[in-house]
Formats: sequence, C-alpha cells, structure tokens
Amino acid sequence: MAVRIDPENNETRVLFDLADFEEKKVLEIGSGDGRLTWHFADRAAHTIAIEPYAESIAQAREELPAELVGRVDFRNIALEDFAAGSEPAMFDMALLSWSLC
Amino acid sequence: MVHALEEIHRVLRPDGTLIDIHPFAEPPLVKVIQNNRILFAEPKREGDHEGIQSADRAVAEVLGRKLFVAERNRDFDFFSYASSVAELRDFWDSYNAFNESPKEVALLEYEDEVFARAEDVLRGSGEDAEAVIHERVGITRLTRVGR
Repeated sequence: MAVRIDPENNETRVLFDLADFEEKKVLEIGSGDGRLTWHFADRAAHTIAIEPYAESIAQAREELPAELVGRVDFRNIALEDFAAGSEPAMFDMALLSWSLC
Repeated sequence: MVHALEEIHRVLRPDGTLIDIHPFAEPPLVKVIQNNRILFAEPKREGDHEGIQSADRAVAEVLGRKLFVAERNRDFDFFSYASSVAELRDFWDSYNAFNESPKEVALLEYEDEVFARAEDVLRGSGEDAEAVIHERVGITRLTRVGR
C-alpha cells in the first residue's frame, strides 16, 4: 500500500483559506513531485514550479495531469539560479512549499 | 535563507503575496493508530529541528527589515499514513533528503529505536492498524512591501 499523505486535506484547506490563487502568476519554490502543485495550479493563471532535486521534477512532469498542460512549468533549478535569470516583479504570488528549512 | 527571501522579494510584484509553509521546529510524532485509537506515539527525534529554527529567524529578519509584512497565519496537523513502519520511514527519508542536515549517529540510533518500537506495536496489532507520522505545520501569508 502506498503512503497516504494528508488524506484529510488539512494543508489545502488552510492554504485556500489564506491564499487566493485565482488568475495569479505563481512561483512555487520546492515543488518536489508536484504533490501540492496539483491542488492549486488549476486555479492559477500560470505556475512556475522549481525544485533542485531532478528525480522529483522528473516525477512531477510524468504525472502532470492533462488539464494542467501549458499551465504549469516544472523546472529543475534552485531558487538562487532561477532568480538570477528572472526579471523583477514577475510574479503575483510565491509559495514556499516546505522549502525554507 | 534570508537571501532566498530577498530573492523572492525581488521577483514578486509590489503588494505580491508570499505563502510560507513549513513545519514546526518541534519533533514530529511517530504513531501507530487503529480505529482512531492511538496505540503508540513518540517524538521522531530528540530536540527541535535547527533548520526550521533558522527558517523562523530568517522570516523574522525580513519582517524586521520591512521587506514583507505578515498578514495572517494558521497552523494545521499533517498526517502521513502507511501500512508498515519501514514504508513510512523510507517515504520520510526520501521526502526530506534535501531538508535535513547530516544526522549524527546518536540521532540515527534514537530514530532507529523509535521506529523499531513502533514496528513492534504495529505487528502486535490487527491488520487495520497503521503507522503514522504526525507533524504540526505553520502557514503564513506575507505581503511584499518596499521597493
């Protein structure tokens, strides 16, 4: 049996209580295998999800739901490198997904 | 970590939103449950997580420098369930491979003992018992301020 992660959806319930993703340009930092991405990306205008761990990004790309194709861009890159190549003020929202520790 | 928050400040538009989700510094609990009864519950490690304490300090610093203002925060319980302790531990180790500092031998021994005791309890229970990691997690909404 696979590991069941937050089947109660406590995380997404609290996340949506605090944050409105509607039509936002979102940067997700530390997206991992997309576990949290799948929950909000359909609400956002577009999401760039970055993760330095190549295996996780590969898994996320493989599992990208058809309805999110073109709406989520997974990149195998660390925040520092991503930011260095990014224009200022590109995003409406940034999400640190368990990654600031 | 402060540098990471500075980079986020730069790529966010004025008045943009930063959502920070990270677990509490206190150790998560390793549990065995059966039909909502807790058969076993012990901290996964001894002491608080240094990385998380550093994250809390980094957030406090950028708030102090008025790069962001904290708008709201909440906390919640985050549970991961598996039918075996080994499966749960493998999952945890792979998921946290990049989050945890190198573990000291004493810490690994402590974790081994906790997971071994949980496994004993799980094996002595019925088929509907599950191994659980229970974390307390904080989520904060911050708004970007300044130029």
